[in-house]
Amino acid sequence: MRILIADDHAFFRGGLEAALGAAGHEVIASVENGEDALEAIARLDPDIAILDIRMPVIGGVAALQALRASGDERPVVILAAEVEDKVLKDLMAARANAIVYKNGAELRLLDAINTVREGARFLDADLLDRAFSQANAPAVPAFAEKLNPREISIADLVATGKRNREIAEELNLTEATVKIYLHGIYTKLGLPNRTALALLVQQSRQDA
Amino acid sequence: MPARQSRLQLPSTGNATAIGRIALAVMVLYFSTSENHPHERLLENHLFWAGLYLLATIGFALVSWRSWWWDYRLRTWSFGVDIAMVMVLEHYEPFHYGFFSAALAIVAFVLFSTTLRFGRGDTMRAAIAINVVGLIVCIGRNIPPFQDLVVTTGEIDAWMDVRHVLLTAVITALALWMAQQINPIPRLPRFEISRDGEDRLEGVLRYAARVTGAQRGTLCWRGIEDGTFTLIGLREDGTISAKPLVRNCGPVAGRDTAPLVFKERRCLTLDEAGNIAVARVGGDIGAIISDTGYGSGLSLPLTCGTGAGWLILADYPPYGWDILRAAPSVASEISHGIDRDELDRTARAAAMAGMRNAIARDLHDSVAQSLAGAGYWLQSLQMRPGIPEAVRDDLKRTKQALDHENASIREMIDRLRGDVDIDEPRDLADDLAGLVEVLGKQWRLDIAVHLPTERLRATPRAAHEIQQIVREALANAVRHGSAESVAIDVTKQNGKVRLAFEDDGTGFADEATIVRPRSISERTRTLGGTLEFGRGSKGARVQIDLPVELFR
Repeated sequence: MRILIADDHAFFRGGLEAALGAAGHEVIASVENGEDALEAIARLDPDIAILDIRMPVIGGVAALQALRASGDERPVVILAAEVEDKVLKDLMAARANAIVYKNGAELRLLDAINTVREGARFLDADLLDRAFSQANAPAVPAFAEKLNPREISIADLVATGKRNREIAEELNLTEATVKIYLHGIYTKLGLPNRTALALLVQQSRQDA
Repeated sequence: MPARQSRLQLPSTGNATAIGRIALAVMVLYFSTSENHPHERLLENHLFWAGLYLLATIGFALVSWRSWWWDYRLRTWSFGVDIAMVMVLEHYEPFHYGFFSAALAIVAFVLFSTTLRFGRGDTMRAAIAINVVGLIVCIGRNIPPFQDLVVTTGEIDAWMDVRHVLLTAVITALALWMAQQINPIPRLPRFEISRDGEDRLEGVLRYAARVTGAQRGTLCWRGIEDGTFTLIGLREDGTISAKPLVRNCGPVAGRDTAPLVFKERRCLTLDEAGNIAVARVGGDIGAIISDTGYGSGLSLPLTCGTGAGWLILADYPPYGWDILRAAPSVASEISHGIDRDELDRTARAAAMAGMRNAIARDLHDSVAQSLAGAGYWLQSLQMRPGIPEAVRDDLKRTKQALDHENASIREMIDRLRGDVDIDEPRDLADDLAGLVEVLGKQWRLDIAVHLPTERLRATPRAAHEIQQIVREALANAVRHGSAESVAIDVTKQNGKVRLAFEDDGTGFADEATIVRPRSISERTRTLGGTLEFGRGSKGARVQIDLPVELFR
């Protein structure tokens, strides 16, 4: 099998190349971001692309989506150290052929390559469970899972456009307390500011 | 600004006014005996009424001493007696300075006692009434049609009446102004929850008991964040008891938001205007008070950002019903203290979360990725043809150890990111079982672990440190003692948990020259434990005693 590897960690890439080589596969390209991966795929036409989820410039999810948008349906194996629910949903929607955890999963990666080569999909067991749960779960905003009830109520009020002082009055808190809570929310959700939080809450409500 | 006091200094106004009333009554009656005009000698001419007045003042004092409830219920009557005395003194013409002074003294007393026991509005009304009545009496004495209605004991002196009216007006104005300046509630000591791991609700109870002098207390609390109900109690010996509560507690939707002072079924409260009023205990707060078993006490409603609850205190000094006036300050200080603590904790948590996320990101991007890469490298070596079987076995063991480390790093990252409850205690048996399996293969060691029958759950920090200690102890046994087997004995006795490692290696040649492993020593010291090295039955023995408080 002619395989392309995209991962930003050189030592990991080296190990992966060695393992794939030892298993009889040919690594035709080894790149460090999604943009280079798309360019190499177009140029070298590998049988399978192995993409890391987190990469600079363009991540694995975006690269896969771009690939599918261009009509390229070649097998893509996603490597991930962790997969958040939303990312899993996006990967499933973009028809990722396999999702494999990076850690201690060397043999499973080889299994995944063999599986996708035969036209089937391969997901690690817990990812399969989560994908199934997502499909059947009642609609709950994803952000709410990371926040406590007080933070959720503050996030909801931010999404309605209320200012800190108004939120403080409504929840019987001081304005400083609201600011501290908001800082905690931004940290937990990895958001830069209240605008991003408001957009996330509104989007999550719509999705739900 | 008044200085903060370590404890509430709140004398009973009932006792104070009763004693003041007795003193004034005795003085007025006694001084009247020296008046020139026989009619003004009250004890001589009005012995019955004078004696009744004196008895009434003593009676009010006894009532206030014995029962805050009857002191409250009879306060209007005692006020009436005071006003009656003012009228009596107004009735007698102020020709003689003995009466004149007594009238002014009792006017001042009535105004101050009304301020303390009724409120500022009532004081204002009493002041107006005193002045109006005095004015009417003086006018009546000097205007012919009304002169017959006013008893006079001497020659009418209009100028003396004018002076009397003016001086009464001045003293009432001054008394009113001073009453406005009275701040009967002293500033309380700041409520701060200790950072030495003190439970917040326990801190509330201990603070309230310290400030009010209460010997016992109960706090029922409804947490807004988690929706739980908690009931904790402070016993007379200072110990705290806690149990979950199923019924609702804490002010809800504006109900039961006023403080209460109760004695069995009798109960007083503060109304919205801040006046003391008779109340009826019922509903949830009534049930909670009944559950406490306190015959009498004080109930304080607490409402703040993190929750709401009722604090019920008992066996405090005899403040009388005046404790109600201090109650809002105590409740406010506690509520603000809880909010301050929450703000402080949230700020610390936010800072910690940011730092933990940064560390987790670094671990993920460097260590975890490198370990994952090493795993693939090892896998490739294992798959390479022509590798000797012994080397293949070594690679396999190394790969297993690497996988275990990888999983540990992954778990550490999750814990740092808060995906795992970092406060959740860890089972020592589970931790050791997984660890010795991996380390046994890694070092080719035969490891036997003996655990106590009692389950030991270590705090996350202690669990992490213990794992690292075990790693190093086993590594040392192999590297420095060439041991082939190690026995790990975990025992719990005398308030300590002991970890004893005994191997079959070469042991220590000379105990006096033992170099203590720095990492184990530091970790043991960090946990507050002690470390001993020595000879075991075969090889070396390492013994670590840890405080039992690290285990739950």
